[in-house]
Amino acid sequence: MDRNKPHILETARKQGLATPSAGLDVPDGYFDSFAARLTAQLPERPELEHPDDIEAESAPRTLWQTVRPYVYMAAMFAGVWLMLQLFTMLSGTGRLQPMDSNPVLAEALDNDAFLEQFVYDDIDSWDVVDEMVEDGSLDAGLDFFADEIPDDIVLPQ
Amino acid sequence: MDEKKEQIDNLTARLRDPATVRAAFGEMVAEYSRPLYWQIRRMVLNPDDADDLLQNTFMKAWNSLENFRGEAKLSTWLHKIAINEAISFLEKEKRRAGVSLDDPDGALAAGIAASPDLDGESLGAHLRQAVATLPDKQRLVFNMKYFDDMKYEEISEILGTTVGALKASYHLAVKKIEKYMERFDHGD
Repeated sequence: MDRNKPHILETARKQGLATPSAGLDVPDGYFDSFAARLTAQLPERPELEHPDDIEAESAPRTLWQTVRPYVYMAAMFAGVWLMLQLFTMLSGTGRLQPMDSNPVLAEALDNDAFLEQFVYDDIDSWDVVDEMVEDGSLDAGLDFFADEIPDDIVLPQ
Repeated sequence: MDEKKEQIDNLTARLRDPATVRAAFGEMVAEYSRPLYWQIRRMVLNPDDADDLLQNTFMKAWNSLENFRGEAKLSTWLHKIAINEAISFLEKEKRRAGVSLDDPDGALAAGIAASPDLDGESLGAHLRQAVATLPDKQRLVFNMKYFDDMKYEEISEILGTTVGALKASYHLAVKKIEKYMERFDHGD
């Protein structure tokens, strides 16, 4: 570029081209109509325009308003607890009853066929031995299991 | 100048008063719509887009008026909103057109240069074409300095960039524009 030439941007400035709107245009009255159009569209902002009303609406809460949610929650838990109690009472599963006071169970245990089919079949003789060893009554039942004890097992004396 | 400052201070005070906020906002729109419009228009060129973005700018200002604490100048706050709107719009347009954001002299600049606003063989038309080839942020700095005659300190406050970086950016923009203009004979 020739150093003696003025900068092209300076030339443009001298020609009035360095202004915000140079070379651009808008319809007549655009800015006036824009301001009117925009202000008409502005939404309500009560927190800006009527803050006193909002403060009045958010006045200090009463004691009841403060504790109400907690009271409701406690009432709900109490209701659930009562329902569970009622359900337990009606279904009779609340407490284990002594066998003597359960006539159905007592009758079933007096029935040999029932014992054979539902009780003895589920008992493993080795479990019985284990229990007898633990509670020290093995000697008493030893003869009964003598045939089943392998020769290499040394029984406690 | 003092009278203008007093007027702006008064406007700022009335924007904080619930009884006058709406009327003051209307006055603010009337006061600033013109410079903000040209600022946006020089970035996006299309008058309809500029109109939409100017509306968005003032709507955002209205909806976040409580965030304006008066520490910054009213004009600085509004310019920040307007520039963010314009830059976001241009980035969206680039994504929509599938133009890489790293392509400063690419298809978008070509598209802008082809705008009907830029027709003609005058110095003004060629200058606008040259400016349209600049990357967005460099163009923004150039527009604010050259066309709006803003001080670097004010631009720095609006863009959050150091004065040194702005001077460098403006210098580069001037060099690019001068190089672009070399191809035309304007009797300079």
